[in-house]
Amino acid sequence: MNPPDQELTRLIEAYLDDSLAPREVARLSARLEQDKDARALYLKLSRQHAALTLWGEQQTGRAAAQPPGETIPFPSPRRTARRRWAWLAAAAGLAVATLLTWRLARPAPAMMTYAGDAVWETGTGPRADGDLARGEHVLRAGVTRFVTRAGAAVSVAAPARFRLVSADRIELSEGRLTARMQREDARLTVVSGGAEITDLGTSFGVDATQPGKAQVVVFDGEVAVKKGAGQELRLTEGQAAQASEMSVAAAKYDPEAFRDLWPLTVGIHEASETVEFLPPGPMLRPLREYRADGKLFLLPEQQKAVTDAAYAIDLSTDVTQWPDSPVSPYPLMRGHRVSSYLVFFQPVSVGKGVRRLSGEITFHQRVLAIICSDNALTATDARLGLKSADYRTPGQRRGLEEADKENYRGAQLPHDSISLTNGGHTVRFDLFVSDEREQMRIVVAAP
Amino acid sequence: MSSRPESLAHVQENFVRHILPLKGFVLSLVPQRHLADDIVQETFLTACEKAASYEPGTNFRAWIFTIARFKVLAHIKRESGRGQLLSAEATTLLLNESLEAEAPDLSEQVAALDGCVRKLARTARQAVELRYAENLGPTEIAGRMGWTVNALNVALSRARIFLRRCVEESLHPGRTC
Repeated sequence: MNPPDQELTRLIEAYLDDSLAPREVARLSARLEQDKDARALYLKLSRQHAALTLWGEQQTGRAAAQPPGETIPFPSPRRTARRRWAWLAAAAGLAVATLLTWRLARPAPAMMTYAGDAVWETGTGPRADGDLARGEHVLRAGVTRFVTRAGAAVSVAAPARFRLVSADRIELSEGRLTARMQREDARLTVVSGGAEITDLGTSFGVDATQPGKAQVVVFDGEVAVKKGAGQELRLTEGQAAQASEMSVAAAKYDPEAFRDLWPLTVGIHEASETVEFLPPGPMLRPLREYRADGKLFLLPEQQKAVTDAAYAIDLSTDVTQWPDSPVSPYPLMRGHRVSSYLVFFQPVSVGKGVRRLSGEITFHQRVLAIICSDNALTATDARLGLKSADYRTPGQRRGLEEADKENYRGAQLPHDSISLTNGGHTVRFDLFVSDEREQMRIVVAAP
Repeated sequence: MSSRPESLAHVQENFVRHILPLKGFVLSLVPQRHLADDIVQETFLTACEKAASYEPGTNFRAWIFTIARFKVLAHIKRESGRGQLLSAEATTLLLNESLEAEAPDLSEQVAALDGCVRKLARTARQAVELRYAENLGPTEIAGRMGWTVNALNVALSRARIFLRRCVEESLHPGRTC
């Protein structure tokens, strides 16, 4: 017997440990495709991996009681399955014990990421460990967000009734939900109003508040809406459809129905009342038309961009105060997968004097950078801004004020300040605004 | 196709008897535990849906392994864009050769591992337990044990060689490799 190829063994073991880079997985695949001896070695090592994995599951020995609310996947009636299961367990064979261990240790299809003020009907909702089990769930009040194991972040607003069939399938019988795919291969099908709505990447909402009907809007990417064996309707960003008993037809795009879900949909957990959210999806009005004297607007921009260059920034997780920091942060380097949000002030009219706008915004993911100087904002518009937004401000400033102005239209205008707290998840702002627009771009890590 | 209650019950009872080798088969091609669980469950659900088409007395194991094979390939094709799983072509070849070869009895291997893991040196045993009982990856295990990742990988590799020999000796005393 030839001594095993050490490099091949290393590749196979790293692959079985799920620690092989994609480039090397491709190399291993190519080797296995061409070399029968390599395949024999793979099967030998992978069978050992399988045996060790099953041994490891036995060691864990999670023979806890069946979690409440979890649906047994047997298609037979629940009570009959339980009696049969009890009989099999009494037999105490290795295969049965393994099935129980496997079944009870099997991860739930979704995990809660935001519970907030959610109130669930008794016996439904998340388990104590924060997982959301297969089966029916009824949300009586509030909003909630969970992430499925198939890569979708789903936000639901009460009152809502839905069935989590699997990690990639939800039946929505009542209520509103939005979904955002968090990675390239994420997948989700929502069944509502008699239609199947399948995500083709990346973000959409379903409104099932009218019995027997479902309104579908696409914020970003593309979805397919199909009813029975009928023709499939493809919708892209800014389009909508209504599904009913009889048909699926194009409808007017109106994201307003999902207003209370907008923040969660774009990955924001909390925000002060000084912040008004703009809907995700394409801009319905030009940027310059969003004006208010007493609040800021938050515009979700890119949701899964990859930085293509090093960008100068003003604040980061290393330099968490602006402008009162002795050092400048390192640039945001290329290759980061990010989401971006523009927070801005635009007055309705001039001459109203100096006002103070303070508050916080808390993100689900960690903030990587905040950009608030003119040049840096302009430099990142193309990559991190919305294609449908016009950011140009010829001859005008757009960033935050980093120094006091002693005589600004006859008054003192203190400088703005921002800070990053809560482990990099919360942006605190203290802005002094007057007649000019002020903007900052918040860049957050994207999964 | 709806399944009669008796054929469904037959499929369910037999499925339980074959769950260990089935999961072992899936794990050998899709090494991530949670993904293998999903595929086993999908196999079970499909077997239940098709229970009426299974002929009692025929090779049940071959039947569910065939279903599992299609599930594995479908999964590989679905996940191919992520670059973290073997190619569909490599998987197909492995599937063919896996089903042809006489696979060792997995339940005996698992039982033998109990005694063999206890024979490992303390740190090697700890690494194996963290890897397979706690399902941690090499980077995390190395961090916990205060080792470099390279050192951890070498230790795991040596432990696996020891365990293979030990299990072989337990199951076939006196046989040399």
